[in-house]
Parts: sequence; C-alpha cells; structure tokens
Amino acid sequence: MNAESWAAGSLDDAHARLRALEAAAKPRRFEMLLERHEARLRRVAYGMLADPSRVDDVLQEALLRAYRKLPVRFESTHHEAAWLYRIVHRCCLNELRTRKRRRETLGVPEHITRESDETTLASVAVAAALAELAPDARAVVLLVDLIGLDYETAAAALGIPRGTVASRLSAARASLRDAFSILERR
Amino acid sequence: MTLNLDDLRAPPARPEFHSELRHRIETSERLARGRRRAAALVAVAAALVIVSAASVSAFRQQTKPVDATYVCSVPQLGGVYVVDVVGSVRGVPVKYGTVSVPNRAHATFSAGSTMSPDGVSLVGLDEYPNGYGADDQLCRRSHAAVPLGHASLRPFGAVTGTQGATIKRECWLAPTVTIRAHVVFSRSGVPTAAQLVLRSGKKLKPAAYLDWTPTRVVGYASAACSNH
Repeated sequence: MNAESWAAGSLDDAHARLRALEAAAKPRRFEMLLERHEARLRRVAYGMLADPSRVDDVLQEALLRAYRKLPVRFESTHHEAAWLYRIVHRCCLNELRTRKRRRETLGVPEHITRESDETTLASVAVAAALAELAPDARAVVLLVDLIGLDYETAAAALGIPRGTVASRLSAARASLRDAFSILERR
Repeated sequence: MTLNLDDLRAPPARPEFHSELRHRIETSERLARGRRRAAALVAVAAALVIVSAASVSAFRQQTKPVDATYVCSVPQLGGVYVVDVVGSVRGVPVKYGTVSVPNRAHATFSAGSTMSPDGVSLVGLDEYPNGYGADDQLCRRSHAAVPLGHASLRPFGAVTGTQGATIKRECWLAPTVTIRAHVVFSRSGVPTAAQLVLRSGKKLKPAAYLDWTPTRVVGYASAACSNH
C-alpha cells in the first residue's frame, strides 16, 4: 500500500457531520454577504464597465463564482472585502477584454434622454470620465475613493503591493480631475 | 455642473436579477453534487482495490521510516495564505448513540479551513494503518535542505496523555511553503512518532515544528503564527 495516500478510514464521522452542517449554512452566509456588499459591488462594476447594460450579467457571474468558493469564515471584514472585490474586479477585466476583442465601443446609454435629471447626467458623465482611465487606474480609484477601502485591502483585492496602489491612485486622481474639468467645460 | 466621483450611481438591478442568480446557483450546485458523487464512486472503487491488494500482500504495509520533503502551494483564504498547525494526542472514543468513533492522535499542516470544502491537509498523519500522507494536488516532493529542528522558533504548547488534548497555531505565510516530515511506523504500519517541519517561502523561513507521538505533542512556532 502506498504510504503517501490517506487511509480511507481516517476521516472521522465527526468531521463529516461538521462539513454537512457548514454546507447547510452556506446559502444564509451568502445572503448576508450580499446584504453587506451588493450595492457597492454594483457601483464598482458600473464604474469599471461604464456600460449599464452589462453590469447585471457581470455581477451575476462574479456572485456565482463567489458562492462556489465561499470560505467558511473570513479572518476579518477586510479580508472578506478584499476577497469579494477581487472576484468582481477579475470578472470586470474579463468583460473588458471580451469587449476589446469584439472591438465594441460604448454609445450613449439608452436611459439618457434630453429630459434626464441632473443626477443621472452627472452619473453618466462620471462613468465616461472613468472610462478614460486605464482599467488598473480605474479599479484603484473606485476601491479607495468611491468605496472607501484602505490601501492594504485594496492592494489585496487587486493583487498588487501597497506602494503600487498609492502611486496608481495618485496618477489616476490627476487624470480623473483633468477628465472632469474637460466634461464640466462642455 | 461640478462633477464628483460620488455622483456615480449604479443602474438598478433588473427585476429578475436575484431569481436568476438563485437559479444559476442551484443549477451549479446540482452539477457539482453530481461531479462529487462520481468522484466519490471512483474513490471507493480505488479504495476497494487498495484494501484487497493490501490483504493479499501485507508485506507492502509501510513500516520503514519515511523522511520526505515537500513544496506545497497554499490556497488563498480571504486574501492571505494560512496554514493551520495542529497536533493532538489520542483521546477517548466519541460516542454517537451506539456508534463509537475512535479519537485518534494526529498531526497536520493544513491549508484553508479544514471544515470547508476548500480546506485541505497539506501533510499530515493520523494514528491509523498507513495514516500518513501529503496532498498530491498541492504538494510535490522536493530536495530542499530543511533541518529537522526547531531553532529560532518558540514553544507554543505541549500536551500529553490520552484525553485528546490538542495544540494549534494559525500561521500566515508565503504562498509557497516547504514541509519536511520524518515519520516512524509500527510493524502494523501505524505512525508512532513524527517530526514535522514547516518553512515559509523561497527563503525557507522557519515557521513551525511539531514533535509528535500518540501520547505527547510539543509544538514550536514563529511570530508569523498566532492562536486565533
């Protein structure tokens, strides 16, 4: 018998029962995760994609992945946020790559008309300004300035060092200010 | 109009967004259950083959000491790479109604949460015939020189007896760890003594050490480990 393989009978019944209990609690844990984060995840996805028609599909894909891989526990709320935003960020990047491959361009969103209120117009203008930034810079601005994650959590979410977050953020803020001022003059 | 990042308003979710999500999750879970069932059937078949082979050729039972070094990838858990160091002495059997489950001594270096489907024992041993192993998905054999000792580590616990006492530390380490295991077996192939060494990263930074027998476990750990 190969000593490198686990013996079939070494798994205790107690562990199996605990696993079953954990599996039963998973939908509830996921619901609570959604309650805490969904609104902000939606804003981040919209900011990344700048295309309201794709936000639902991308977010749904990200949440499905999150459900499949949902850990039993997180070390802290920071780790929970980093884990979740990382999934959404990756799904957004996949979508942007697909869009690039198809050479799709963004048009004027369908819900924008001459009668649209100022809040809607401002939101669309901000999304357009964000779209001018590179995806990496956009992600940093959204996670730190819009959602309010600290540098460490944003770094963990994006899989980059803390210093890179700081430098990207500084450059992205400057670019965003320029984009805002151009849009405001129009 | 003055623009501000806070003006960004996400479009509202379409009415069927959550029902669609629930439906997709249920479908995905159903498929996963099917895959797990198929994998379990294969595992049972493989176990039957192994058990029958062992009964025919008992001399293949592991009785010689094992001294092996592995390099293991640690799955990410909530943004960090966590290895649980656990050592336990033999305990009294646990009774579930009329069923008595043996409470065996064990020692493991596990990643993720062992209570979750994603949790996995990287290297570990259990007081059971051939109860020693390494995860063949995450770990591979290595020739790295790792001394069998606890230099630069601090003792974090020692337990003795047969009441199932356990010592545990949670270590936040590099994405790759190196583990050396030296295990001695009885004539029936049950681990009777072991030393497990855990090192972190490419620089093999000392992280933890377990000196284990079924009735005595002593643990040493670095500052990267805590008792969460």
